[in-house]
Amino acid sequence: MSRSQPLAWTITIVIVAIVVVINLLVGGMGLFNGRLDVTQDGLYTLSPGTEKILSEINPDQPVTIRFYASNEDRVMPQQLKSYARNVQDLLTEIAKEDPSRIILEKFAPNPDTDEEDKAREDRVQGMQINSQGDNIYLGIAIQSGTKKEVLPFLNPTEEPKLEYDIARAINKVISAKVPIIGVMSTMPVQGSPMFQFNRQRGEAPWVIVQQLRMDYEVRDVSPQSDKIDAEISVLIVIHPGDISETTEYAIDQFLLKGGRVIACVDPLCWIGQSYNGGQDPMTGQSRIVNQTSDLPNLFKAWGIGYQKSEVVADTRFQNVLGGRENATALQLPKTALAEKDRITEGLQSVSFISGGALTNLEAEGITLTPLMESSEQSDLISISTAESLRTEPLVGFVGSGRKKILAAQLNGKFKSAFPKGPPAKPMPPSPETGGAQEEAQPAAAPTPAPAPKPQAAKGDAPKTPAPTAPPASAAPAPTSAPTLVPPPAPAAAPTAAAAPADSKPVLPPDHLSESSSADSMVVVFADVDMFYDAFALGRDQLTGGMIALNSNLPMFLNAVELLSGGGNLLAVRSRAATQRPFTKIDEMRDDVEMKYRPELEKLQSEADAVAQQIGALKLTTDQSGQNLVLDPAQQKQMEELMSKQVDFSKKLRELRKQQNKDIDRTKSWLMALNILAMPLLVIVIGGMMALIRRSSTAAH
Amino acid sequence: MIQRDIKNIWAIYKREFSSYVNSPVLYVILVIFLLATMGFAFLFGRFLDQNDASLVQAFFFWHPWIYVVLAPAVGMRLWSEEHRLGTVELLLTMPISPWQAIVGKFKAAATVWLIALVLTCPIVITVCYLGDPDPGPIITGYIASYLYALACLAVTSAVSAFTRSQVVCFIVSVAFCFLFTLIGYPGIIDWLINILPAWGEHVVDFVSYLSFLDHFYEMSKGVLVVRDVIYFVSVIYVALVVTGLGLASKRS
Repeated sequence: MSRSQPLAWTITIVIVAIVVVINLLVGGMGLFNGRLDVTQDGLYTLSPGTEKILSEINPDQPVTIRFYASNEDRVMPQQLKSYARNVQDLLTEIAKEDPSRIILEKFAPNPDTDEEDKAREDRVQGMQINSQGDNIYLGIAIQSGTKKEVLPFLNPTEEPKLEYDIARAINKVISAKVPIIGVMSTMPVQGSPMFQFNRQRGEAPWVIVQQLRMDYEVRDVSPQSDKIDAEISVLIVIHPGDISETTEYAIDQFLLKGGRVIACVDPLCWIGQSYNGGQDPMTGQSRIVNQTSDLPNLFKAWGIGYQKSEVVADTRFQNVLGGRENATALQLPKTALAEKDRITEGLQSVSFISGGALTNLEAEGITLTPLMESSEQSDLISISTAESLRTEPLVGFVGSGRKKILAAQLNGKFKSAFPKGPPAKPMPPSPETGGAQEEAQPAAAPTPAPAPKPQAAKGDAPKTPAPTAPPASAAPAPTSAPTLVPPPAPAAAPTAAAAPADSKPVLPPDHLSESSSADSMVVVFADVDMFYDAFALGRDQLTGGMIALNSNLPMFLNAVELLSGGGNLLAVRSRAATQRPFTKIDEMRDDVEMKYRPELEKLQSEADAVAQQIGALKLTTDQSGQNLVLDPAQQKQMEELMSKQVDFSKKLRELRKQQNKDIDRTKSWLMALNILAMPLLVIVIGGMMALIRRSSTAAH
Repeated sequence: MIQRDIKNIWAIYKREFSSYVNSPVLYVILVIFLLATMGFAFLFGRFLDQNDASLVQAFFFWHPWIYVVLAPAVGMRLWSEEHRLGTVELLLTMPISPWQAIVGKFKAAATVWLIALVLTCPIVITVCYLGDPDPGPIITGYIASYLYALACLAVTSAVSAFTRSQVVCFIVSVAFCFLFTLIGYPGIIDWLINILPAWGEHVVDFVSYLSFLDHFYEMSKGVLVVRDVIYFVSVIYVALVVTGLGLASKRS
């Protein structure tokens, strides 16, 4: 026996050595290492979008990926180490696609090494890890030619986004040129240059345009265009007041040819009004901007319903505008934004100023995804009521109980809004003048004569709105509204109807009647004001710098980025959402809410009524000149109302608690069953086995 | 030859497994395991509040720590008991090789863990009822979890081959499993770097590669990684080889 001892040891040592070598080869050096991704969405495999981007790399200009990950165990936390390995696996996978065009270099920038200097040089961000000032690095620099993109630090919590981030960076360095964004607006959103001869000061462009110019080439597109340059990848239409059919047709064809469109329309555009009457420094003529805008034919083809004479009011999300609560100035919380959409994902709150509502008419082949929605306590009110809200409270308002779509994303295969070909050529447009003449264009068809626009121009509003101009100063005289609103029957509609009669059956050779691809995209916002500087930015009291008041600008830029990124990136992006929610709990919540809604709504509306009474009481005292002095009767009434209000909020709270209780009960049951059922079963079986054993031994 | 191997292994397996079924230890361990996995998932992992129809975060996350303690409890009697009662001599005088005995016993203990994992099915049913989970990560999660349990069990088997006291075996095995689980943690690595001379860097690299945890989480996310599977299989294999070595040294 003792002789076999050394043999056993030797064999053991040899076996262990072999096993260690196998592990070193596979684990340490990555030979023969395979991964089998068994997730349904292929979360850990390259998406077709990424593969497409990689296939577009120019062979003469390879992409170098420099991956920096500290690996010294002394400094690198275990969690980051294993994440770094995942990243490396992904990068290896990417490089495997075509090693001749994608060069992967790995660096281990540990403290006090040359590689650390290299990481710094590449602007990879160091994270101080201990009191000795040691830094760790986990970042990627992607370079092609002279263009470089850096992902400074990879956060493990953002793993679902990792592939997208890398794909986007690669896409950016290999793209020959920056995307061109076209901006079409009846307002001087692009600013206007300074003109010496009439001593007009130049107007600064809107901040959204300034921001766009940093990342894209921004081109001005005239709102009277009859063709949109195919070089433009995204067309942003801001407030297309009095748009002509010809221009709509141009947008239509631009979209069908693969362009993407972001449209901002508004039933009541305060900013548009504030430009009215101001002088256009380019022409010296007074500027006329319609306060309402619409894309009547396009919306119809896209399956969007939109009432340009109605504004959304919402008593739950209402906010203060011009010093008073205004139900048309909405502050939308996170819950009102589409949670999963890349445009709105992660945004905190969005302002929505006197905008309209969209409805989904479900056009064939087009999917409409709401991006922002109002609360259930909202409804549409007329423009004149909306305008009056600046000076009077909203009375007699009852929410419709339905959410209104305030912005939406449309995907799919679009059909032309002009299946019969381009609309009949209107009279030659005169591009120098603003929207007023524009409206005269469709007059080729029998339409009611447009209101004489210049009358509407208010001489008392000589505004060159500086970016920070408070919206209140732009208050229009309410009387101007009726004249500004175009006749309810949009001029375009009769033309469209009349078109078949005299239109030529021959379509122009380049006319498209439907999208060339199925991934056309349009984003529609039913408000324009929300993207104006004063509604999106505020001045920081401390530093005097501009700070964001809300997520309006990020949302806009997200949309542009999304639409300009090309379909490849979108495909990668959409995969990032890996979470699968408990739909059942949501369903239960909905059911419970349905059960309690009538009661809740009743209480809420009563509470609202009391609040309004209090408001009215306060108002009368304010207007009487003697501020805040109430006579005893009023005092008493006020106190009663106040205590009522407290009462209501208590009742509401109770009801909400009750609501949660039902769900909590189900949850508790599930938990009890899960934790206790199986152990009990095991105990029962064990007990039975013991009994059987005992009886069998007893029998013996 | 192979047929006889299988027959022998099967005989040992039956004997060992029926002794598990007949001892209260099995039931106690199963109950503790089920209470622990579910309790951690629902109370600490807040499974129902996470609104995430997957088992990775709330459920599988805790498994390694449970195995560190419970796998040795299942495996501690594998050989210690035989040593104590002296039945190991008897067993090995039978016309079976030590290797067959080792594999047979290990499989019996492995079956206990299979039963334990099967009994966690209520949480799978719950997650399917509440949402629409991705089946892939659930399957790989169970595979990873089972491999982890087997690795701990194999380590325990090796330890038990060297000792005749179940208690000593349990404590030493827990310590080993704990070490293997924690080995990648910076504190331990620091200590290793300090005690090893400069050339030890690669040794430390290798040692941190040995960490069980490192190989567990990625698989539980829904990716079967060859290197991780190979790692666990190697650990099990080496531990069983060491068990054979322990038996041989005891007998000599």
